[in-house]
Amino acid sequence: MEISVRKEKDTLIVSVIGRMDTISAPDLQQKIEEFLDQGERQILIDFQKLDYICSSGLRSTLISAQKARTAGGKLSCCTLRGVVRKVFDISGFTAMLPIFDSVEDALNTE
Amino acid sequence: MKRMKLPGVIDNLALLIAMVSECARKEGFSQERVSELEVAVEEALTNICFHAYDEAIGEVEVRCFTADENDRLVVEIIDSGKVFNPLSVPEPILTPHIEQRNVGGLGIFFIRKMSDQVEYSRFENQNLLSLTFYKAQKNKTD
Repeated sequence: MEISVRKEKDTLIVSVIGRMDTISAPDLQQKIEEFLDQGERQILIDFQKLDYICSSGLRSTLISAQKARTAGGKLSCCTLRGVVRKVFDISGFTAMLPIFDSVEDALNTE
Repeated sequence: MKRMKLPGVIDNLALLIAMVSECARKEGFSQERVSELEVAVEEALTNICFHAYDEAIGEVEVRCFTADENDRLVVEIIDSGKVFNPLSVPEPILTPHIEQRNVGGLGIFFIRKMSDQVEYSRFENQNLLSLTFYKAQKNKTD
């Protein structure tokens, strides 16, 4: 999995690319912890280019969201599709985290 | 039937999963259904890698074959580790409150949700988990 970041307004947009499996999932959590340590407080994970996720990926996402909340910030997600959307839906993550259809929707709501 | 037996370590998951994916694609499963199948298989294999063997690394075998005139793919996952029936694990609580949510417990949940049928048996000191996938996932009532 690749991770790329960019900043728009006050939001750090973290794009996850490829597959978030058991081996690569901890990378997301580690990166987000680094961003939080650097003072970022509005984080948006863009899943548009992610083709696959398993429970390890959900675990990383959840821990990242909990840490953002503890730090007084917020973690949102956008552009879920395919099996990634299904995994989020059936696990209840769609009901638990702020989920948007696009980066634009997420930024317009912040 | 395709089969592969490897040491039960995370680094080998990709090879085992790829074998199953290839079987499914050859039988005409859609990419989305293949991905769902991969989730179920990865969850089962990850459990074995992390929990089946206490000390030395044990082996895991994956077999896949078609049935019902290729409408159904069966994936069998075999290990010689501790007795463990994933079907005996209760479903996780899917609370929408982030501060109350536990980080674990979803692996077996996904095995059940992504597969059309899950069966477990213990035979000659081996755990055998059998996952059945139809090309179009059957409606689930749970």
